[in-house]
Parts: sequence; C-alpha cells; structure tokens
Amino acid sequence: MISNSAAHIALRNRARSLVVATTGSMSLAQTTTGFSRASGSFVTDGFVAGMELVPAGFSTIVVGIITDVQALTMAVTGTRAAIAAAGSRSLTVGLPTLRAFENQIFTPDPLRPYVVEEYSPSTSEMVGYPDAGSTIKETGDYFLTWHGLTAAGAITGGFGAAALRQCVDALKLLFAPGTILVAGAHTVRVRRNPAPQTGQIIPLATGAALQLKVPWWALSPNTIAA
Amino acid sequence: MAFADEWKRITVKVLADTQAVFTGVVADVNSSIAFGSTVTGSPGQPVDEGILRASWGTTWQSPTSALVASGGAAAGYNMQNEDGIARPGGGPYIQRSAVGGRHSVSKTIDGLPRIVEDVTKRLGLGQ
Repeated sequence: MISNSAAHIALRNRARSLVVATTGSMSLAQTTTGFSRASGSFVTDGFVAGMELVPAGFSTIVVGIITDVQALTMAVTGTRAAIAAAGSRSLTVGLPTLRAFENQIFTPDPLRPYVVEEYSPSTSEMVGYPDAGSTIKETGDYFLTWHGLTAAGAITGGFGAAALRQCVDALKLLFAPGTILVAGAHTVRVRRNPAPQTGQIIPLATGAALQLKVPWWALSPNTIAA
Repeated sequence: MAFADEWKRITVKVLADTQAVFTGVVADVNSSIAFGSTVTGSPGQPVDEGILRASWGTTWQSPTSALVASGGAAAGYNMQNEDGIARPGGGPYIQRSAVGGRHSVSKTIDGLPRIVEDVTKRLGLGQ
C-alpha cells in the first residue's frame, strides 16, 4: 500500500511550488505605495489586483495585496519605506503565505488570502492475483480551497473574479491530468477521468472561496507481513 | 421459436435489465451520499440529530430519470458539509460529528462507474 503521508506531502509540495505571476530577478524599486520598474510590464507578467504579492531581495519584506497594476508601477497594501532601484529583486504571486494545512492550528487574517487543504483517500482495491505481490490500486482527492479577498486598501468596490480565478487556474495547471508525483517508494498520478476541476466562486462575508479538486490514483505492490 | 419472437424476448430482457441496473444505481447513489460507501469512498453525511442525513432523498422523475437531492431543514448547511467552505462567514469549517465527512457527493459522482459495475455484478449481469 502507498504511504498516505508521503502522497499527501507530494501533493502539498506540488501546490507549494505554485507561481501565478512573477517578475523574475530584475531591478525593482520600492515606493511608499508599492513597487516600480524601469522596463518591462507588471501587466504582462500577469499581476492582477487582489493577488497577494511577496517581494524578495529587498531590505525589508512586507507582503501585501495588489490594488492597482500598471506597466511600470504596482500599488500594494501595507506601509513601506521607499527603497531605490537595485537588481536581484523579484515580486511573486504564489500559493498564499497563510496556509491551513491539515491538523494545524490556523486563524484566518481578514486582510490576507489563505488556502485550506484536505487530503482525502477514497478507495482501495486489489487489482490482481495472487494476493502476495499483486497490485493494489488506491484513489483519493486532494482539495485546495483558495479564500480570496473581495476588497482591500483603496479597492472598496471589489476586486472581481480575475485574481481568484487566475490563481486557482494556475494551481490547476500544476495538477494537469497525468501528472506524476513521487511519493516515497511509489508514485501518485493525477487522474484523467475525473480530471482536476474547479467550481463556482462562493461569496462569503469575509471574501470569496474557490475550490480545486485534484483526483489522484496510485498503484503499489501488496506486501503481506510474515 | 421464430427469429422475431426471439429478438422480442431479448429486447424485453435488455429493457428489464437496464431498468433494474438503473434502479439499483440510483439507490446506491443515494446510499453512498447519505451513509457512505466503500465502492465510492464517500464518507457519508455527518450525524448529530440526523437531520442532514435524512434530508437526502430520491425523486423518481421518469423510468429513466431520478433526482437525488438534499434540502428542507438541512438547506442551510448541506452545501458546507459537502465542500467544507463555511457559509456565510467563511473561516475554518469544523466537523463535530465522528460519523461521516465531507465531499460525499463529489466522491459518489467520481465513483459512479464503480457503482454501475457493482450493481451489475450484484444482479448477475455482465461479468
């Protein structure tokens, strides 16, 4: 049988690797209202208002919510000191930094997006004979529920669906059907039918939630202990 | 027996078998969602007073159509028991029942081919 612990970690690590949008390493400046660049475009890089932005390479790192995106400037919530442009810096939107992983104490922050994970095994059956050494097929689901913000900072009328949809779409791409993940001694495969799917954006008093379902399956040899 | 008579006998049996499979599948879908199932991996509905579990029922719309649905007194919380998204306030959804779990509808839909296979075997059809 597979190690559910290893399978869970493999799926989680895949989610952790998410990059929704990034500048890559480049010269960036920090302003009191956000960030600026001299060339390229934040718009083309895929940043959208409502996403959680994580800076890297700056002397002080303040995670914030994007409230406006222009080609050369980006407004972000939070208080920052101006820092002159310099290289080897980046701005990235990935999996929310607040993560409600299973069986961990978690308190949501109403001003930050967060993600909730559920690892949920479904079925387990022998698919061959004899029992010893034959194959066990196991299936299950990995659910990731992205809780996005409806409003923040200067945005009082709502961010709309784009940020939440684009983040979860990028997450879904990480789990394309047929994706193979190493889980200890075995491999976990993302199912083709049903394939990963997202649902409807659920409006909540504190924001909006969108769930990604990743069906998986795995084969392992049946070992009978002496 | 004439060929036409034989063909008619086969047709009648196929229709009867199809109806039996459909009836069995609908019953198992309802049971998988409400009570859980090893065939689909559905955990079934959480149970406190049993209102949620009892809210699931089947409406036979025609010989080839049935609706398995929940509502009534559980309409305010049946969806959050399915997807784990606490409505309307958001925040963590905590299951307090030791029985049942989440995503029973989702897992039942995923497991529908297995339900059909299982019902077909039980009826002595197919394999």
